[in-house]
Amino acid sequence: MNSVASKRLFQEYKHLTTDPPEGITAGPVTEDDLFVWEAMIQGPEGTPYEGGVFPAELKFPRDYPLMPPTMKFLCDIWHPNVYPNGNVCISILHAPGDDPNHYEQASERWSPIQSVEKILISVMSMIAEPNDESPANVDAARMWRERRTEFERRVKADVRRSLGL
Amino acid sequence: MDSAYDVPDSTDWLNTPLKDFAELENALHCQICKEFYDTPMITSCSHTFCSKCIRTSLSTDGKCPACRTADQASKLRNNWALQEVVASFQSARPAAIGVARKQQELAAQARRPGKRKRAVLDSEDIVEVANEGRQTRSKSRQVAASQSSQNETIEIEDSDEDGAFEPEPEDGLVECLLGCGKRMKPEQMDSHLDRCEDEKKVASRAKSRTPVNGFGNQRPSAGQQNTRPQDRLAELNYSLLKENAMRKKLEELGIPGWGAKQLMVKRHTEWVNLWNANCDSRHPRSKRELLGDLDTWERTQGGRAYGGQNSLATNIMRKEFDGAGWASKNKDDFSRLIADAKRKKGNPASAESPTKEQEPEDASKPALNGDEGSSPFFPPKSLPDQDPPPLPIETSQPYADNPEALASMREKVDTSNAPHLHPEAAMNTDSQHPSRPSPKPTHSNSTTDTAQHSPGSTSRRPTTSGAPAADRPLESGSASMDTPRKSSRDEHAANEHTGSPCDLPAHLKSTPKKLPMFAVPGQAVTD
Repeated sequence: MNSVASKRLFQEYKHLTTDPPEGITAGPVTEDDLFVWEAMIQGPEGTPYEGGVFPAELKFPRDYPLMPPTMKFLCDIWHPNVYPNGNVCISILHAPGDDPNHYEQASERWSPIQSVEKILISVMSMIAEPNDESPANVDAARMWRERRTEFERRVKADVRRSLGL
Repeated sequence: MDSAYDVPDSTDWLNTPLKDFAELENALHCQICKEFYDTPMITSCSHTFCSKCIRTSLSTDGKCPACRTADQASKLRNNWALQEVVASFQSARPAAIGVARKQQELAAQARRPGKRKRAVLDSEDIVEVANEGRQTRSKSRQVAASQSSQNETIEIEDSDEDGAFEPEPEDGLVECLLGCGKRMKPEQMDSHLDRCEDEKKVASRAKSRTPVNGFGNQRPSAGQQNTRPQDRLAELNYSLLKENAMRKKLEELGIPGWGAKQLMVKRHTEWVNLWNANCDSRHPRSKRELLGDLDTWERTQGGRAYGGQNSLATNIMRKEFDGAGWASKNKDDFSRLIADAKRKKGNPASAESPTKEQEPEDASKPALNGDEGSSPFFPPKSLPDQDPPPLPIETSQPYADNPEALASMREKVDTSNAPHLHPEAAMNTDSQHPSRPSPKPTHSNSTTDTAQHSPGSTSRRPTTSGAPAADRPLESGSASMDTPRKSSRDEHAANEHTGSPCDLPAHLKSTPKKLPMFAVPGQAVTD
């Protein structure tokens, strides 16, 4: 059963395997089911997240690439744009039609020409530069805005804990 | 399956001396499917995509995926030049990548010309090259003539000793543009095209075409390659079509006409895209192949897709819905809910707790339920005598395998939630129906309820079994069509085990007492 979606996912998988962007690895959890991926994102250098490795799960809809996948961090990550349950809130993951928050440019949202690689790169840059205009985690956003040092201390502590230090 | 996974990718060129080819190959890939362009079409905004890809994309949101300018499928035009480039690159690729890899190996061996060793390498390369050849052929759907030329390429490489072969099957010939399969010198093409067209016309006339069943006259019979562009299918204004008219349309087109209207619309859209993309193609395929594609779609995204929304919508509402199977499949969930409910029952409730439960929305509810959650299940009046554990017969889920009984129960719930309530029953459920004031003042126990209840906070559960289902986090992920059925089951199961005021037999006799039992568990499950 070779749907458009699974063909394209395999293509992307191959591309990501042979030529992965720096700090990112991603691939299907099992090759039997190409619609669930796991990705590892390194914390960008020069940010409090540096040194951390953040596992995330990507779930693709059957009509991928018409519709975007969803992404959820499998670890605790204290970040204004990540919901407390790990779901990532980033415009590239929002389907073209709906704009639940009414602040995004249409050009930032999902389109079939985007790819897993672009999503992960976007998420990486989101980690480095939070967008506090539409926070998913309001507490984290407020802390980021008002008490930056405390925010950074907390993030660093999380990173150290996740590394078992 | 295996051959499909052997995908040519631009990264194949990396780490070879020809690594700049990665960029070239990338440029020849469609940005939607990430494969080589298949019948590239150019949009009004001058972006190029595969015909099928851009048609599917446009039918989804009507915008160019690259720049998001609004566009229409009818405005797409073939990008013939690009198609030529892609086709020739694809036919040159296997040999070229073979050379590139061989060079890479050679470099790795530090220029030691060990012929024996290289012979082994060669054979590996060849296997790889042959695979890629197969892949690209199947994708470009080239005619037999060009396939054989590719095979020749591989053989040349096979017999060649030290990589001195040509990277391309350069025989100086080009294939007929109309797809008759002949190869000729470029300067002969013009005259050939005239002849080729005439020959085709004669041939098609001689063939006395009989329309295939359900097919219009313009369509080619299976296997015949029609060089003339076929009539494209028009998109329909689906909102104007009733379900029956829609079904008729599908059957006229010769494609399956089952399923709900929404599914039929999707199937029609898919078919129109498949069909029109095929019309764009220089090497159109037969309707049978297109139907095969549609079937693949049906199994992966359409009505027969596992776990797809459509499949849920169509399967679950069907009469033969496997109630027992569903019950056993979700047994874990049910028993967890039951356990939760039982645990709550352990805590005697205070009279005012229902209001506190109703006020917070779902998110905060579980915490509150923990300590004072039992009262909604056991209205104060019935608490003293109804506390004992459930009857044994109930714990075995007597109706789990009886969809009819469940259906009738659901009906009863519906009717019982209607305004004509028995006063006694109304007392038990007044938290669900705050808008009905009459019974409340009469009961001393419910005075706190009436005092603290604001209609707004509770009105979210005013309707029948369908409404509570929507509230429950458990089901929020599943398709909407599936919830009513499942929810009634959940409630049913939860009820059996919580020993709620009304036992099931009474329920089935459709006494008014059945009401609290069903209205209540909607909350139990939120916990």
